[in-house]
Formats: sequence, C-alpha cells, structure tokens
Amino acid sequence: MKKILINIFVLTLLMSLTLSCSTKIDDVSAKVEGLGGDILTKQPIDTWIETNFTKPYNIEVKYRWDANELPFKTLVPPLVSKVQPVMEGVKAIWIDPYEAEAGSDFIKKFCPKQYVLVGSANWNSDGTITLGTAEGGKKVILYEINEFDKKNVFGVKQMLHTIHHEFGHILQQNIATPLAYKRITPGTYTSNWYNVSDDEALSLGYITPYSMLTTDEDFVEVLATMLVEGKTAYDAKVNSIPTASGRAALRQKGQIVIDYLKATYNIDFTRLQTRTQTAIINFTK
Amino acid sequence: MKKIFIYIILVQLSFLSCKKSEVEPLFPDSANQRATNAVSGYKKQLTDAQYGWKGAYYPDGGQAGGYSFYLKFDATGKLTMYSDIDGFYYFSNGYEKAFETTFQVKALQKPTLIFDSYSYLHELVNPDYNGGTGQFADLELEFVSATDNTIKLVGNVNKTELILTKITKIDSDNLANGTFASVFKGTANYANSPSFLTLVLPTGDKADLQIDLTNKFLVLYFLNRSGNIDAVSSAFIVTTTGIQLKDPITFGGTTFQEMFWDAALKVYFINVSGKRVNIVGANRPTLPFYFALGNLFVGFTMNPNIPTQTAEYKALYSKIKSDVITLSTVAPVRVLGNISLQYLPNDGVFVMLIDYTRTQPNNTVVFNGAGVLYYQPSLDSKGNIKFTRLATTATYYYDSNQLLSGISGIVAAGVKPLTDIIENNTFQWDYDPVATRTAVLKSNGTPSISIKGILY
Repeated sequence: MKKILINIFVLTLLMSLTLSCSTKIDDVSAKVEGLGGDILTKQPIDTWIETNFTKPYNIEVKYRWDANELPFKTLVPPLVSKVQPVMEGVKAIWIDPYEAEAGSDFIKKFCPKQYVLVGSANWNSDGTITLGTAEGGKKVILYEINEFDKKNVFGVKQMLHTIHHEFGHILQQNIATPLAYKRITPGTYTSNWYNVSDDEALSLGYITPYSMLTTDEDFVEVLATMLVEGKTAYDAKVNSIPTASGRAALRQKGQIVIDYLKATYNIDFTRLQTRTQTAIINFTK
Repeated sequence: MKKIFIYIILVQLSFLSCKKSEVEPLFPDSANQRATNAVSGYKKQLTDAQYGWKGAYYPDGGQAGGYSFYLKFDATGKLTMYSDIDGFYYFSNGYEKAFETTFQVKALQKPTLIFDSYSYLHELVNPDYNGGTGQFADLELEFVSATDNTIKLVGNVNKTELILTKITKIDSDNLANGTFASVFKGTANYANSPSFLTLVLPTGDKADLQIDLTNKFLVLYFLNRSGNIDAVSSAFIVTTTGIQLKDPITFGGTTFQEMFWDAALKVYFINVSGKRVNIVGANRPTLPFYFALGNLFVGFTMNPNIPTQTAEYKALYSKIKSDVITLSTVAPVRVLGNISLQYLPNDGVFVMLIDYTRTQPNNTVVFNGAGVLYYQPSLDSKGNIKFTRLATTATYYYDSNQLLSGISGIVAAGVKPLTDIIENNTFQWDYDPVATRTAVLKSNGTPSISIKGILY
C-alpha cells in the first residue's frame, strides 16, 4: 500500500512537472519601435555642422532640445541663428590653434565628441550661473548661446574661455596634473568661491575666484586665461597683484601649465597662445 | 494517515488540472507599437491642419496670465509661429512677424510636443528672466486629449495648459495681412488709455473693466445686490478678433468668454443674447470713489500743473516749493516734484509721497526719490475722511527701489503748510465731475481748499 502511495506521489510530481512546462515562449525578436534615436529632417544648419564638425572631427553638435542631455533644470534651446556663429568661433579659436600646433590627430583624439548648446544660462540655487560643463571628456554643454555676438570681444572671450577650460579638463583627465601644482596654494581652496572678489582671489594667488574651487579647476582656469587673454594681459594682471605671495604663486602656476603641455603633449605653449590671440582678433574683427 | 496522503494528492491535482489557456491580448498591437502609432497620429493631426492652429497657453498650471500662439506645423519639423507676446528681450512684437522655428512629437512618458529650438514661446520658459525660474512655463507638453478640432496638452514640468484649436483661412489671412498686429496694438492703446472702461448691460448692471495686458489678466469690478464690491476675473489671450478669456465671466446674468475688437470705433464689444454691447471709455468709473480706491486706482497725484488745478493749491504748492529750496542751505538743493497720496490696501493706511531731486550744478543727479509720511484714514457716516499722521517716516529711493526709514527734516519742514491742512481738517473726496481720471479733495473747515489730482 505504502509503495502504491509513493508511486502515485512520484507520478503526480512528474505530471506537475510536465504540465508546468507548457508555457509558450514569447517571441522576443519583435521589432522595438523608435530605436536608433530621433529621426529629424535635416535643416540647413545641420548640413553645415556635418561638413564642419561631424565629418572632420566626429563631433556632434546638438542644438535642438533633448532633456536627456541636460541637467534637470529650467533651460531653453538656443536660437538657431546663433548656432553657426558660436561654432565658427569654437573652430577658429579652439580647434584651429591646437590643430596647427599639435596636429589634427591630437584634436581628433582628445576633443569632446558632443557639444550640446543651450540658449540660456544654467542657474544654480545659490544664484550663480554656470556657463559650461564637461562630462568625462565626452560631452561639453555650452550655455548662454543666445547672448553670443561675434563683435563682442568680451563675450567671445568668455565663451572661448569656457571651451578652453573644459578642454583643459580633458587634457588633465588623460595625463594628470603635476603634484607640484597642488602644493602651491594649499589650504585656501573653498566651495564658497562665489563670495570671493576678483581682487581677493588674485591676492591669494588665484587667477579667478572660480579657480579656488579645486586644484583641477585652478589648473584649467590658468590654462584658459593664459590662452584667451594672451601673454601681455595675463602678465599685466599678475604684476598688478599687491601681494608678493600672490604674484609668486600665479607665476609658478603659469610655468607649470607651460611645462605640462610641453612635457605631456609636446605643445609649444607660447606659439599656441599667439595663435589663439591672432584667432580672437581675426574672429571679432 | 493514508487519507491525508490522498487528500494532498487530490489537492495538488486540482491545481494542476487548470490548464493555462492562451490569453487574448487586450490590444491587438504591442504597447511599443501603440505608443509609436499615437506619436505619428498626433504629428499627422498637427501637420495636416491646412491653416494651422491657435494655441491658448497658460503657464504655471493655468494660474498665471495667458499667451496666444498661432502655429503652423510642417511635416519636415518646421514650425511657423505668431504670438501676442510683447516686448521681451530676444523678440519684440511677436504679433507682427512670423518666426520660423522647429518642433518634435516624441514619446517621452507620454506622446509629447516639444518646441525644440528657440521661439517666442521660450521667452516664457527662459530662466534668465526671474533669476532662474522664467514664468514657470513649459517647452515640453504632453498630449492629454484630442478631437478633430481641439487638442489639449499639459506641460511636463510646470503644468502649463495649452489648448490648440484649428484655425480657418480667415484667421490665417488675418495673421498674414497684419490684422492680428493691429488688434494687438489697438488693445494696448485701449487698455492703457486714461479712461475707465465701463460695461453697461441692457439690464442696467454696470461694471468697471480692467485689462492688464502685461500679465494678461482681466478683472470686472461691480457692486453686487447687497451693495458690496465684487470682482470676477480671468486670464486671457489676444486673438485675431479680440480677447479670448480662459474662463467664462458671468455678470448681471450674462456670461461671456470672448470680447471682440471693433477696429473702426476702437472699442471692444460683447454679444449679449444676440445684441452688441460696447465697452466704452469713461471719465470716471461706475464704482463709487471709496470702492474704486485700492482696486481701479491706488493713488492721487496733486500735480499743480494740470489744467483744472485750483488757484489755491497752485499758490500753496509754489510756496512750499520755494520753502524747500530756501531751507536747503547746503548744495545740492532739494527741488520738489509732485506730491501724491497713495493707499496701501494691505496695510489700510495712506502714504504721502513727496517727490524731490537733488542735482549737482553739473547736472549729476545725486538723489531722485521721495520723502514718505504715513496717515491712518478714518471715514465718518457722511463720507468725510480724516487723515491722522503716524509716527513713521521714510525716504524712498526710486533708482534703487529702496525704502529707508527717516525723512529729510528740510523736506518735512518745507511741506508743513500742506501737511497742516491735511492733518487739521476733514475732507470730501470724490471724482471730478468733468475732467478725465481726476479727483477732488475738498476741505470741510478752514482754510477752505480744493486740491485736484490725477488718479493712478
């Protein structure tokens, strides 16, 4: 009797196994709609971007709104009419000088592969605004595109400062900044940089208040300021600092930047600086 | 024991015997396919409208004023836009010129219409206005519902309401031939004219209409059956024919949602049961003076130079003006401007604003502002008003928009002849019987004085 019962039990188990396997396998090969990104009809500016950025440098310039590319904040897309002037400036004042000094492979290798353009500034909760951000050497977001005016030298310099600043981050993320740099003004870095005036920052040995955020920001601020403002203006600014320690710190920082570019990427900084200056003059003419 | 085994087996079998059947899907297509169909369906509906759409756009969950957008969508992603937006930074006069921009219809959480490059609409979203927030508007709006002629959308972030209505050839022509622009300009002149806009219904019900074209908000003030002030309001948009209200307004048994612009007569009218009723400008409101104060106007500028100004006030003013100059012993001297009485509805008090400037001999203005005195009003049963001076004084800096405590002793002493009269008298205060937007403040005792002023 017991044996029969056990047999029945085993049989039932087997039956349950067989029956529970009757589920049909779904067809997982069904086509997923909308894969492959947005398909947008090309506007005239898209052709221009393709010819000047995408084909030669593999850079995507995104100007139409895509919330996925941006921080979750109130922002607006740029005026289409501003896209070409901005990107012409980027080409003339950033790509061309580097290309001439370091070769086209250098730009192709290190350039951020995506530019996202935003019409307004990026407003922070503390009331400051961000003009540009870079993410992992891949993407650069440029803000305040709508304010761009080719003839406005200050505005052009401000925007190109942002681009050189972000590119500086990519360079330092590939080959680290010399440790010596971090030892020049230790202890005065602060996240409250926006409460520091330009003059105070200079006296402490920082080229801009924003430099005071971290040593990495400091390094790229010095790099960008030297390139965009030029040697004469940079030296004059440093020489005007009232404190001897501030002057010494900034001279030392400038020299490390120059040596770094030579030692790591074999770029002659003086020539790069001159080319950038000439480009700014020609562009804003 | 054996029984238990059998029961267990039976129970197990009963579960297994329910064989799974093929479930018929509720929808014939996959969710993915349906989303794609919805997106292309909405896009087709937008681009198929031959003359385009009229959009009524109400930012900030519909709590703010309205904006109209005339939109013509094109299958290649281009969008032609007109708007009743006026005087922003990147654009002025959106009602005059079509602007070409781009759009996308895309599946985000829901099928969504995205205004994806800058346009008139982004002037409302732009965070560079209002320090990072803009007007709490949206550039991504999801489809809520659609019929053949109407599509409703709501903003993804700030819950902006957008209602699209298909337009006709007439509307389209009115955009192209400048009628929209002339309606807008006409409305601006009408709304900003010094006259008070009054609506008198055939039933005899009267109301004062206030059109705020900056905030796109309209208010109708009237006295209700129990003799108290009442107000109905709505956000609005400017269209090719006039003003379209967000919410219908009911007053005196009449309900209306549209006001029509008569370009020839330069007036707005509404239709009341098939009959046309003009809303015309008048010298004075229909509301009694003290009901209108704080609603239709807040203050009264005692300008000595208005044509109807009384001789006694002119004389008094020229005396205090020269007194202030004489008392200013140190350059730059104080030069008196207008003196105003302004009601602060939230505090229930009046301020007397005594405008003055101080200018260097080389014409550099070192001060442009006003001395401020505070008065507590009291009204007796006969409508006589008495102003009681409060201890607080202040100085208002117009250029920096700052109010600091304390008033210049020279100014306070200089205007004493006027403040003595104001403080030691009771007054009758009412509209001027003739002049537009003018009121008269008339003393009851001695000295007997009438002061006229422009209401603002």
